Amino acid sequence: MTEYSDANIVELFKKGESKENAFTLLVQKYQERLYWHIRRMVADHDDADDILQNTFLKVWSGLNGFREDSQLYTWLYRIATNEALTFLKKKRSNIFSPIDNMEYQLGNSLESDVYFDGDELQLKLQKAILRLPDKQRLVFNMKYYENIKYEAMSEVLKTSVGALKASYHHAVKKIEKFMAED
Amino acid sequence: MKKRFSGEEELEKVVEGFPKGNPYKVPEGYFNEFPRRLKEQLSQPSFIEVTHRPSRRFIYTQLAYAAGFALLISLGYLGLRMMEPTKVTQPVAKVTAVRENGVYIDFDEASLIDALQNDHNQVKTTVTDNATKDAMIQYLVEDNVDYTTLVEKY
Repeated sequence: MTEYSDANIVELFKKGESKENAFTLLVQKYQERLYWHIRRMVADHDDADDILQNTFLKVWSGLNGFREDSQLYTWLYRIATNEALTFLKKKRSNIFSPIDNMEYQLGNSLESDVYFDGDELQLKLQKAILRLPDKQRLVFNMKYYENIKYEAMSEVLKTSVGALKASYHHAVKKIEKFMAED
Repeated sequence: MKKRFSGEEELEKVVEGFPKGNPYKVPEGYFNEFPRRLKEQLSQPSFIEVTHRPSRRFIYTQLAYAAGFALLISLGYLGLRMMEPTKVTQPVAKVTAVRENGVYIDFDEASLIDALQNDHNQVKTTVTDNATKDAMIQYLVEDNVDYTTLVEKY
């Protein structure tokens, strides 16, 4: 199957007559990358599915206004990231128990998640990642799992490279400490 | 020569010790189905934002909290009720002394009201009592009281 370039997809979409086809091409090209980006942030499949749908609905609404001076994948990542962060913020504000918090809930829910297939060590790593502050978790995931360069990350998260490096450093140290605990 | 690790190199060494791979899964055929589901949503007259729809897990958690809260309230209420001193039912009317000839000398108003009430509630023997009524009619008939007067009176 021919893989269309981002520019071709955007051009097709903006033409109007093949808008739906262009959008399907875009979804097929980016759905997996965006899904895993979101899933690692929220852990739960159903939540990730909802956020991914909403991300693409926003892309559909905004693609006509997309300016090609930035890269398409940067724009898509930014929308997905914002949607995930908004979701987490909303979820956090709905938890009113003082003895529990969302980070612990996310980590503990993995043990009974049918869509989690990791061993004990993986479970511990995911729990450690889910307990990181949102920004550090984002940076760690993008670097460790998606191998995204700091410069590209900087465009998505609108943060300086230095600050991203510091976030990654803190995240790794926290995870290392958590992994060393019994 | 002693090699000095920069901050990043040191971090890389730490990260190398972390488990690799993706432990998360998706339902079978999820990525094949997703574009079709999305298309269906877009074809609806006005597509609905779903990001903030509470997930099932979230709803279950909230329900569990609500049930726990209700249980706490119930237990608290029950505890308070049990801690309250037991109310001893005092007789409202109490005769404290009776003179030898049977006249009440010390009673409260309530006992008087109760006594009158009981008296009022007692079934009284009246002219409606069949035996008395027949005797009365017999007497009146014998004394030439006319029928109309009898009907009017009784």
